[in-house]
Amino acid sequence: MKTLNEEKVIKNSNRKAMIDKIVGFLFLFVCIISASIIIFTIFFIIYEGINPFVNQYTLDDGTIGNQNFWGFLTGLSYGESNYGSLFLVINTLYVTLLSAIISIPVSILTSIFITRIAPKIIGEVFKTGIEILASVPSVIYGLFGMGVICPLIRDLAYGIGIQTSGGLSVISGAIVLAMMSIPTITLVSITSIQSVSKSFIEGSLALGATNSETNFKVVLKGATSGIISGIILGIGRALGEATAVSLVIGNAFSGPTFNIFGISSTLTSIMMLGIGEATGLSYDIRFSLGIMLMLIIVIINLILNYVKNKITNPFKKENKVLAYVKDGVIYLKAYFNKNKNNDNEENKNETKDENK
Amino acid sequence: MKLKMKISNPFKFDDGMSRKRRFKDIFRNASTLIFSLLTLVTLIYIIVYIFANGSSTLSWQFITSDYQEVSTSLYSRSDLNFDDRTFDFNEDGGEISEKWGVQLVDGENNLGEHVVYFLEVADNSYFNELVIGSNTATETYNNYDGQYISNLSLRVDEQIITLSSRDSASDIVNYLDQSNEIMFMEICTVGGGIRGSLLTTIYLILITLIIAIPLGVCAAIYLALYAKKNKFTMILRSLIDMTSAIPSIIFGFIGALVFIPFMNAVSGSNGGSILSGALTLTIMLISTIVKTTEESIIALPKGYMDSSLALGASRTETVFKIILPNALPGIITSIILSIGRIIGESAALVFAIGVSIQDNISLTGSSTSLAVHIWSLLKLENPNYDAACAISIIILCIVLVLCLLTKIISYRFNKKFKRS
Repeated sequence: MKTLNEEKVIKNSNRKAMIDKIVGFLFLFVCIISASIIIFTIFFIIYEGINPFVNQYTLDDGTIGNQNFWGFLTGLSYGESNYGSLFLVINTLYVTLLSAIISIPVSILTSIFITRIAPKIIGEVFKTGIEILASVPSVIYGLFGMGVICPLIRDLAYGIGIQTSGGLSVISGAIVLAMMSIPTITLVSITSIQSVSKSFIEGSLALGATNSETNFKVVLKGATSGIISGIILGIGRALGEATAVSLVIGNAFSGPTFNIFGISSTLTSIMMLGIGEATGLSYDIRFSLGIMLMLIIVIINLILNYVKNKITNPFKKENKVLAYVKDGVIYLKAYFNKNKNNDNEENKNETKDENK
Repeated sequence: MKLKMKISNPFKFDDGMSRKRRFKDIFRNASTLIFSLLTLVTLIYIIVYIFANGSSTLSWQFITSDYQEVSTSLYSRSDLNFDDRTFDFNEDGGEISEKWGVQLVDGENNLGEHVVYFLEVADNSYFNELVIGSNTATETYNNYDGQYISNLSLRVDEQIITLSSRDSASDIVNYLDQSNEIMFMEICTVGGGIRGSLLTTIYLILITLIIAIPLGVCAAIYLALYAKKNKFTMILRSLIDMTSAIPSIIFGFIGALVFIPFMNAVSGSNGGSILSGALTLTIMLISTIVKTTEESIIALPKGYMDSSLALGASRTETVFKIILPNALPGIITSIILSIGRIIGESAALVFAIGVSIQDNISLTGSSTSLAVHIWSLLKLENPNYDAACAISIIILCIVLVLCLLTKIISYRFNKKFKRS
C-alpha cells in the first residue's frame, strides 16, 4: 500500500492550486479578449470612419479634397462630388418599416397557430420548417428575391400600369427582408408564448372566453415582452442585412424614395456597391456609413426597449409590491423604479392584470 | 400592446353576441392558419425554385471543375495524309466523323451555353496527330477528355470555314468530313465550376473552428464556472451579448481594416486571403459559441462539479475531465451552428476575402467562398441563375443536414439531463 507522505501531499496540492490559478487566469484572459471584440470593433470603425472628413484624398477630377461633414449628414445624393447619407438613412428606415409591417403580424399569427391552435405534430412540422427558414443563408434569400419576387413585382406593377426597372424596387427589398426576419421573430415568440403560465389560460377559459379570445387577449398579452424582444432581433437582422438587399433594391444614387415601386438604396446596399474596384474616398466613406448604420441600430434598439418597458411594466413610475400564489407558495414581487425585472416576472404581472 | 381585431359583420343580421363572437373566432383562427401556411409555402417555394433551376446544372463535373477555362490551340500538319484506316468507338450517341475518327456530342457548359464536347477520340484518330500551335516544336496533343471546341477553322475546297462552339455537333462533323486540313482549332476545358470556392469554404470552416472553438469554450467555462457574481462579470457578459447584435458587414469592415493589413504584414499576402477571412469569421462567431457552450454547461447538474471537488480533484481536473465531456453536446451544437453561419456568410467575406473567384487555392491567396460565389454570379451583367441555384442546392443540403443534427443532439442532451 502506498503511504501518504504529508510533505508530498502538501507539495502536490500546492502545485494543483497553482495550476488552478493559472488556468483560471487563462480562462479570464480569454473571456476578456472575447468581450473586448466589440470595443475593438467600434473603435476601429469610428477611427476609420472619421478619416474621410479629416484626410485629404485625390478626387476623380484630379483635385485634392475631403468629404464635407455637413454634406455627408444632410446629403440627398451619393456621388463623386458629395457622398450624402441622409437619404440612405431615410431609405433604410423606410424599407425596414415596410418589412416590419409585413413580418410582425405574420410571425405573431404563425407563432399562435403553432403553439396554441395546431395539433402537436402539425405544430412540430411548422416549427421545423421555420427553423430551416431561419438557417437559410441570406444570399439564397437574395437569389430567391431576384429570381421570383422581382419578376412577380414587375408583373404586378405592370398590371396596374406602373413601369418598374425589372422589379427591382423598395417593395421587393421589403418582402425579402420580411422573409428573413419572420423566422427570427416567430421562433422567439413561440418560446415566449410557451412560457405563459397555464393557469392564466385556464382561468380565462373558465371565465367564459372562447379559445381564440384567450389566445389573442390573454396569451398574447402575457407574451408581449418576449414578442417585442423577437421584433427587436428581427428588425436588427433586417437593418444589418446587406447581400440580399443589395441584389433586389436597385441601387439608386439619390433619394429618398417613398414610391414602393421605385428603385432605392439602403446604407448596406451602398456599402456593397462596386466593391473590389473602389479605392480612396469612395472606399473609405463606407466606414462612415458603417458608423451611421451602428448608430441607427443602437437608436432603434433603445426606442424599442423603451416601448417594451412602457408596455410590459406599467408600474414603472411608482413603487409597487405585488403578491401572488403559485404552486402553494406565496411570492412577493416588488417593482421599483430602477429595478430591472426579468421577462418572466413582467409576464406574470401583466397577465395577472389582464385576468382580473 | 392592445391587439383589437374589430371587424363589423358585413351581413348585419345581428341576433345577439354569440354569432358575432363565433364569426370573430373563425376569423381569428383562420387568419393564424393562413399566415402560418404562408410561411411554410414560402419555404417550400424557395426549395422548389432552387431545385428546379439548379438541378440541371448541378453535376459532379460542376463541383470538380475549375472556374477559369484553359484553352489550347491546335492545327494539323501540312504533311498529314489520310490513309484508309478505320476507327473503333466504344461510346455511342454522338456524331461520328469517320474521316478524322472523332465522336462529338452537343452539350452545355456550366454557364448554360451550348457547346460541342469531344465524346470520344479513337486511339488511332488523326486528332492525335494534331500539333500544339502555340510553340514551334511539333508536339502532338492527345488529351481531349472533357474538353470542348471553342473555335475551329477548316479548309474546305480552298475555302476557309470558321466554326464555333455555338454550331451543332452534326454541322461540325459534316464540315470535318469534307475538309482535309484543320487550320486552327481551339479547345477548352470546361469552366464555371466551383472547385476553388468549395475548397476555400472548407478551409475557412476548418481554420475558423480551430481558432474560435478553444477561445469560445474557454470564455464560456470562465463565465459559467469561475466568474463571481459582480459588476465586472456582468459587463463581460453584456459585452459578449452585444457582439452578436453587430451586423456581419461591420465585421467585414474589421476584416478589411485590421486583418487584411495584418496578414499582409505577417505572411506577405496581397489583399484578402483565406486567413484574413477566417480571423474575421472568428471574431464574428465567438459570441455565439460562448453563449451555446455556457448554456450547456449551466444545464449540467450542479452535483457534478461539487462531487468531483469533494472527491479531491482540483478545479482544473474537474473542468477538463468532468464538465467538458458532459458539455460536449453543447460544444458540438455550437460547432454545427458555426459551420452553418460560415457557409452562409457573405457580407463579411465580401470585404474580408474579396470577390475574385480563383482555382488555385492557397491560404494566403485571394479566393472566395460559395456564398460570395453566388453573390458574384448574381452581380454579373447577365445574372447566372442556374449556376447560382446549383450552388444554393449544395448550401441548402448542408444547412438542412446541420439543422437536423442540432435537433437530434439537443433532443438527446435534454433527455439525459432533463430537470423537473
